[in-house]
Amino acid sequence: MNTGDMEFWEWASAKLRRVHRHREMTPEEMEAFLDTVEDEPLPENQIEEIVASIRAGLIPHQEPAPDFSWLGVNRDTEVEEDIYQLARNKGQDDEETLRRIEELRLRELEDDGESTDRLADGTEPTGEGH
Amino acid sequence: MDDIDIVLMMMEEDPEGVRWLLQKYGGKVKAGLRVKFGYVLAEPEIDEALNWGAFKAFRAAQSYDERRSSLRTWFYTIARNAARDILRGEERRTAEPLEHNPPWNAEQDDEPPLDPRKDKALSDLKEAVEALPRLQKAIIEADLASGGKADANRLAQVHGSTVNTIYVARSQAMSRLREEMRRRGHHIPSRAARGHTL
Repeated sequence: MNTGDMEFWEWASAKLRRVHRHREMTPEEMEAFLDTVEDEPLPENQIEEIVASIRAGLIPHQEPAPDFSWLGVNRDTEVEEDIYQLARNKGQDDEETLRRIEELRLRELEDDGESTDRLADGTEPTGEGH
Repeated sequence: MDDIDIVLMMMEEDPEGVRWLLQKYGGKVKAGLRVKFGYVLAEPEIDEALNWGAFKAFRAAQSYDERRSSLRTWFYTIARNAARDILRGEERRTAEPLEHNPPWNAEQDDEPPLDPRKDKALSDLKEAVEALPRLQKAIIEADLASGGKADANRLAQVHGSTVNTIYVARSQAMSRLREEMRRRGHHIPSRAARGHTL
């Protein structure tokens, strides 16, 4: 920034601060200002946290929430696509694999058709305990 | 609870005094901070200014003078200064005892507020600020609110930018404003003419 710009800004910022919201106020003006703002009683937990910090000799600290808005509104959709891509098994889209999966699925369905209630040792259940 | 009792509790280093202070005036002070700084500070930062203000009020209770101001405006002034410190990026996370900040700022302005309707230069200046590109305008507004130069690191974080970009954008904004004022025919008095020395 050159000297001319700096001199200009000294002049301009002093002017803007006086008209803007950041002109220094007298106690009377501040009193009037505070009368105009709406009272929003603080939540009890916030007060409790501040008092507890002071009791512990620490400055009450509030960690600002991270702002990810600059990433853009469609970012979630892109990430969702990425997740699908990552979760897909190797070869899942391969024609041969898909054919094998279909064969296994049909075989399982045929087995279910033969007996749905056969026990692990191949015998039929007796019905006891039902 | 009377104001003077709250102050006495804090003077005796009883944190319950802060509880009373916040219950009685915390809501108004936070609302005041939001009005003045809501366009340059995020909500958690406004909370932080309030928290830090409460801590400083507790530590500075000895300096409170009821003849100069009410407890409410005294607390608001401390919280407002804390908000400016956040904008300027001044260290605030240390657990070391803080030095007392004079609640009434030494730079208090005794001049009356300006009326843009009666001051063409001011009116043009405001229009020029409004017309700045988004980032440049945000930097200028943060600078004005901070009472000096707003912290470039914080601005970079908030706007998803880099510190260098902030410096460049600030410089561009000032040049652009100056050029716009010159184009509109305003003569900007030099520093020497305004009574400053280089």
